Amino acid sequence: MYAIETKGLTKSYGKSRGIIDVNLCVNEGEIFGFIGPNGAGKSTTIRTLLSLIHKDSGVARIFGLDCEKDREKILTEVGYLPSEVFYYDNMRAIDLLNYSASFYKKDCTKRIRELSDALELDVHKKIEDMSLGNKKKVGIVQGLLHSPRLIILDEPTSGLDPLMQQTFFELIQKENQRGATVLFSSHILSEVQKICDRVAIIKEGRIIQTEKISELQQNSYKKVSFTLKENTLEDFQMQGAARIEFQGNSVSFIYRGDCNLLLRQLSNYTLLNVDISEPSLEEIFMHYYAE
Amino acid sequence: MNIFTYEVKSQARSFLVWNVALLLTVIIFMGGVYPIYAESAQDILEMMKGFPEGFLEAFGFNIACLFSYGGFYSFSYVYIALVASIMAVIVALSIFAREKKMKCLDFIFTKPISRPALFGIKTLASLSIVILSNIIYSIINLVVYYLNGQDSEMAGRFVLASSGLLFTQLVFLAIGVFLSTFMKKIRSVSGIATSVGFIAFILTALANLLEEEAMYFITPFKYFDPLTVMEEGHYEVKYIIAAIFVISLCMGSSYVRFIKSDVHAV
Repeated sequence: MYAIETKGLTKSYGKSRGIIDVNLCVNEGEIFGFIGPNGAGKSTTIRTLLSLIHKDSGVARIFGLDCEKDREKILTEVGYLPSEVFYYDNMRAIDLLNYSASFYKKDCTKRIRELSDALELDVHKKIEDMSLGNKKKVGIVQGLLHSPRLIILDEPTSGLDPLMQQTFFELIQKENQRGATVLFSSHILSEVQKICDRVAIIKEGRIIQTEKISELQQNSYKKVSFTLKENTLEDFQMQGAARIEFQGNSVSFIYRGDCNLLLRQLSNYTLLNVDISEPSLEEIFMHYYAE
Repeated sequence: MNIFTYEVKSQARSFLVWNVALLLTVIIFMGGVYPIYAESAQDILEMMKGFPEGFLEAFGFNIACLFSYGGFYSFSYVYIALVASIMAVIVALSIFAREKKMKCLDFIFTKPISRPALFGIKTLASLSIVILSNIIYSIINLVVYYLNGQDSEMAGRFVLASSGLLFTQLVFLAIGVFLSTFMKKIRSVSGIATSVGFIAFILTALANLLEEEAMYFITPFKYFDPLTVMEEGHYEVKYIIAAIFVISLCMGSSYVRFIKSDVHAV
């Protein structure tokens, strides 16, 4: 049984695109990254899983249960942190957290204290008087206070300073070690790279690639740049090369394919320098978007 | 019951303010103005003869029965109903549009509670507030009735006439729920509620002026007219049906929208 499973999940907003034929399988206990730029369909997928919006067609299951039919059962097991956090006016953080805890049939007092302490959150302050970062902390605590089996994070780190981001990642990793599955949606690739096991890349409403982070970085792609000794190169083409950029007598590109072919091609030139390295996830990601 | 408690608690201050307003209106009109008014009946009658007929009708002055307690209550009722209708719309908007207004629909809709249950609890919280308010109102209204030395034989009818305010508020509560679920943005709860109240007030003035029966059907202040109860001992069935129709239409369509609508990111 998958923690999250979608088959042909489709949602459109009238004439405008939402998501098309999204197929995802997230294993129990993994941290699964979900990346794509704004408007690619990450939030639509998440909101369909949470039954905040209704799918047009396809299947969406969490822990084997139908996201719409078994909504309440699913939501007892899910903690959700939206990209932008808004709560009730005139409410102190502790009141909001207690109100949130009252929806789950368990005592969350100890967990609220632990999480607030870890995030250095003053729970006795009114939420409306808090900074964006502190509001986000309230969101994190309310998403985790019931020790959910599945944690859904939609652009979770916006508003958090780098130190707090680190604390947040540690919290998520601890939750994961406890057995929680995490769906981590972001457009900041370095943070996905930091904690995720696998990643799905979404482009214009469609999943274009699902791979292990390690495979995505190490096995398939190379970042290549070379400099010619004398004359400049006006054209360079090779099967598997993408995002080719020229700068003076230097050429750089992302390569995916047989490395022997690459070396054979490079041997045609008189080179001053050559550099073949692992591309960052960001560069791979940009490659997908350029295709 | 956590939602119920939260909703009712968060209405406490507003409940207090609007109940004081409602009670002050009835105490001023029935406890303060009526005794002086009844004593000076002859002078007032002479003065009113000088006003144009249309003006008197528009503001609910029915000279034939204005000096009876029921008649004066019926005249005052338009102003009491104005306050009560604004209160009912505020209750509905505050409870049903709270998350929409504060952009925290994501919070409540990702909690393990079904949308029908959430709608039900919010309805129950709204009803509790309005019913409690009307119990207090009816008691004070009856006390003022007796303080004015009115006939205890007619007290039963007066209690029934008093209860018309509850039914009127239920109509406005339903209108408020409808606005909460169908309006895209709720900027000012009191602004919307005051507008609804005054539209109803103007419709009442127009209906009084035109005396067209069709107009009465779109005038909620007329559905539970106290004068009819005081004179005939019952409300008019056709207006009860009209009220039930408005309530059912507003609550039914709001329920469907609440259950089915997509909650988009803010």
